[in-house]
Amino acid sequence: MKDAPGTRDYDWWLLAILTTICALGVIEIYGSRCAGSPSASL
Amino acid sequence: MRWLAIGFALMFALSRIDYHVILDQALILYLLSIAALVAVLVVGHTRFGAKRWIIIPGLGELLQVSELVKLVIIIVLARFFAEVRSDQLDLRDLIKAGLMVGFPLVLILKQPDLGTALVLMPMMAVGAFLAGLKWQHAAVFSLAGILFVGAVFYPPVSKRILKPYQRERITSFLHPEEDAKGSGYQLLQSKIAVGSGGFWGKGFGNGTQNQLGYIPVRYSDFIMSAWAEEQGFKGVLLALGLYMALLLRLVQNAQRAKDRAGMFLVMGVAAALGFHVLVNVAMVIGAMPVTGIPLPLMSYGGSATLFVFLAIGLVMNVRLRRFVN
Amino acid sequence: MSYWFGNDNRLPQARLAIASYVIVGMIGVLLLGFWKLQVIDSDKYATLAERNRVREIPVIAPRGRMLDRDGRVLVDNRPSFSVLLLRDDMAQVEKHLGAISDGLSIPLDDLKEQLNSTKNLAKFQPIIIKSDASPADIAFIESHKADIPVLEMIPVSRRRYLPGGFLSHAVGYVGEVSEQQIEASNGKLRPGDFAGKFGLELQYNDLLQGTDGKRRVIVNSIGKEVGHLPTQEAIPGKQIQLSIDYDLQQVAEQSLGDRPGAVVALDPRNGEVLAMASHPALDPNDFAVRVSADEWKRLNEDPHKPLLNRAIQAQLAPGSVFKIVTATAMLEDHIPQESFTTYCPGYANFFGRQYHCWVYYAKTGAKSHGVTNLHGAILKSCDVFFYNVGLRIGIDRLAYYASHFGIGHKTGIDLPAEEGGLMPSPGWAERVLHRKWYQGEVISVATGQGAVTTTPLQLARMISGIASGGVFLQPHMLKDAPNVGVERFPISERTVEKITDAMYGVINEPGGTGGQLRLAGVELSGKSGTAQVIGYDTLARIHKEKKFLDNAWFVGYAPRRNPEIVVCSLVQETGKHGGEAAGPVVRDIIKAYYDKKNKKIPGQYTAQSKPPEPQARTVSAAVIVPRVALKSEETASGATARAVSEPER
Repeated sequence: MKDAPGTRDYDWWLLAILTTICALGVIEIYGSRCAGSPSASL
Repeated sequence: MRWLAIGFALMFALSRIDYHVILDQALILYLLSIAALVAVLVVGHTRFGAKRWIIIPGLGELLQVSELVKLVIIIVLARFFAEVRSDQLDLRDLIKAGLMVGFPLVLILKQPDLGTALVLMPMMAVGAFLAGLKWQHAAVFSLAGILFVGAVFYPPVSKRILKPYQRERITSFLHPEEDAKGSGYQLLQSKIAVGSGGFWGKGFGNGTQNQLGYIPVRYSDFIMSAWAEEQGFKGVLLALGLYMALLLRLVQNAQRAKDRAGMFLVMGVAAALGFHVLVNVAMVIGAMPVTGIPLPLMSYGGSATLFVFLAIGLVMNVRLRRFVN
Repeated sequence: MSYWFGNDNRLPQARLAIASYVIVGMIGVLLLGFWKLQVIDSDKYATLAERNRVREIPVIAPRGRMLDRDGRVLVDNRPSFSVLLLRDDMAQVEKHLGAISDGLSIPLDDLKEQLNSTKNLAKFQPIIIKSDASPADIAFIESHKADIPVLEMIPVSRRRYLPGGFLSHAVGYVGEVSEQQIEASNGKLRPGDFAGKFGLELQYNDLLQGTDGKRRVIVNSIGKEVGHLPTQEAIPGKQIQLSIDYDLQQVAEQSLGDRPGAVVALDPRNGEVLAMASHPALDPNDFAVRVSADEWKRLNEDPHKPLLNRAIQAQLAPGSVFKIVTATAMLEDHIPQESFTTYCPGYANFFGRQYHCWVYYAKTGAKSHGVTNLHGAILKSCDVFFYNVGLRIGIDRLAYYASHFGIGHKTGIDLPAEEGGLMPSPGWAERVLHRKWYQGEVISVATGQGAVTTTPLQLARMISGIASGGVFLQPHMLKDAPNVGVERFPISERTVEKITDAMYGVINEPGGTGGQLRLAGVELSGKSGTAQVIGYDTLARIHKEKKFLDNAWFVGYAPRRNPEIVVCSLVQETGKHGGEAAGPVVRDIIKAYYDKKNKKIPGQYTAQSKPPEPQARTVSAAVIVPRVALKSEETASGATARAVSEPER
């Protein structure tokens, strides 16, 4: 417990994966919400 | 989005506090969560027929207490199992742990919130397993678990132990086609969405099941269904690949933890997340009944997202201190 | 650090490794699940998804119109709205059932019953709960579009028939399909659909009906319309052109008036039916939407039997019209010889029983026909002559000829529910009555009494065939119909000549029973008939006044050989003789036919191809009587006063 942990020690890989998954969710929710009406493409 | 930002902030904040300090407060946290669970039963907000929410003072947001309780249980279990100083977990300790988890579990079931209550079990199981669960104990508990599941699916027994809406979900899981507009509706519609997506998917905004509202709660529990419809199998491959990477990364972090306590913390988180992914995704493809368990990170839901970030915060915490002593 | 933080920090690496394998396995299993749904069973779910978002709302095909032979509209359609109930979401339906019942004034029980009877149909198929919605219904649906999402209106076309029951029995009517019809239709018909039930509407239902289209709307899971797909257009039913001549039909309807009876006009050259009336008429417009059970019961139990198409369904004794059969048989078989004569004292005795001639009961003149040969006997319709002839011919030969002339057989007209009538014979007596044939029965049969029964259409066809030299054509209602059935029963030219001369004489020679029907410039020929509902002799025996009124027949045609038009009219229970009561109807129609042919009164017949207001004209009231009909009636009554010496039997 001597040194405060540095930012370098964060698991950036884990965070990257995490963020990507979040992005998928956000894309799905916002992407489909803002897409054109379905009849337009039919 | 807001929840994501809050989640990130809290995650970093939580990672700063040494997890040993947090573990020290395990008992207090445990008692607090029991109190909160009781409180929610008394004064909680009712939504969708269940009392699960309390208002966060000042924010006006509704918070699902059981999500935070999951976190506390992870901490409490980690503390408990870390204290067991033997390679083997004896029956006495096992029962102790069981009682510890059982109490809040019953309270959560009272809300009722079967999904969250169920999540406590794999945490316990994984913890026990890593703490040196004896194979014969494992066998006995697996058998008990199988018997329980069997009972739940066996109408004469389930009548006594399950609530009507829960029984209905089980029935609709077993026979989704029987009444396509009734209780089997959600599962069938979800399967149709997933199946009609095909390998390549229909593209953003072209998922008819999704866009026309056939997918139930499409931004929350069934978001994987919408994703699978619009992105197809390739999208599913990507999403599940990411989840696998996430979970394996957690296990790796556990392997590199400085001490057993840290390992238990990380694996508790992994167990919770893994169970969420398993049950949610299995439900989306119609392989499990509807339980109301959201998909971590992808699903739209404040408290659940908060839980995941706090949990990851714990994991970071453990990681940050792996070389420190 | 706290006390619990021990030194033993060996991690269970093996078990952690197992955990990671479990994770990989778990993800793998889930992926397999997706693979099954998305790759292996993808097509199946794609179809299900397609069906999910498309709701099919029927586009009702308009029924084909019916035109007369000149292209004038006899039956067409009017716009109307039907109310659909969308059943995708039964919970919603149940919720709003009460409101729907109130708003559309349909009894709740009826609605439930209808839902119950259709519960086996696919959920996405809407059902029609109300046909011909009233303006109030439409307003109700429009104003509750948001809160009662399970109602929908579709435009449909309803049948519009000419008012007053014009041509009603031939045209028939449509009605809501029965469950049996739905089952037999192979999914083409749905509950609430309309189909032909009677007459031409039933006969040519397949032609008239067309194929319903589909309006395909994209809906979300709560049934809200969010878009639409290309509509599958309805294929309208085919229009049919009838051989009916509107003008002649008009004359027929009005000339028959409010007397119960029937008229059939045929073109003997091709079998086309030019006019067909049956009274009392029924107004098929009453049936065009839905006929209530009470109304239906009333129509069925009406003693006047308005539902009966008398032209093809009335089976009655033909009376003296049948003498043409007897006469033809006599001439063809030469039994007795053509020169055969009888003396008619007004009666004759056979087998120890006295048979009267109609002249015996005549109110005026000598109660005798004197000595008559065949020609005179046809002219004056002498019963005694034909009693003797019938006895000599015998029932077997008589039945042989009658059968070949179509007596007792359906004509095969393209109308449903035609009746065949009956030509009695020894075989028939044994088969049906289980008794021997009495020799004396032929005496009655030879004069068209006794067990022999025919329909007006049958008689028209019979006279057509005999006057045309033995070519019997199948009567039909469609103009220029292909494959008209022909039965050839060659009759010698001499016989045809003799018979037609006699029938010409009935109207155009002194003493003929149709003398009052003479038409200037037209070789109108024919034969009258008066058939008792109950026998003359029975009547005399029970000493009753004529309570049971006679049926009057007249079959007329022109010209005298190879006729262009044959008209058979039947006036029921009139108390008058055939020539008096039924003759003028025939005469009116044939006069109208020639007037039209010679364009004597241009425009007279083409005035109304679609008479607009139903209440303006009814058959019985005959508000608009064409001049032809009026004129002919005047002359007819004048003639009766002046020329008729003897009414006939």
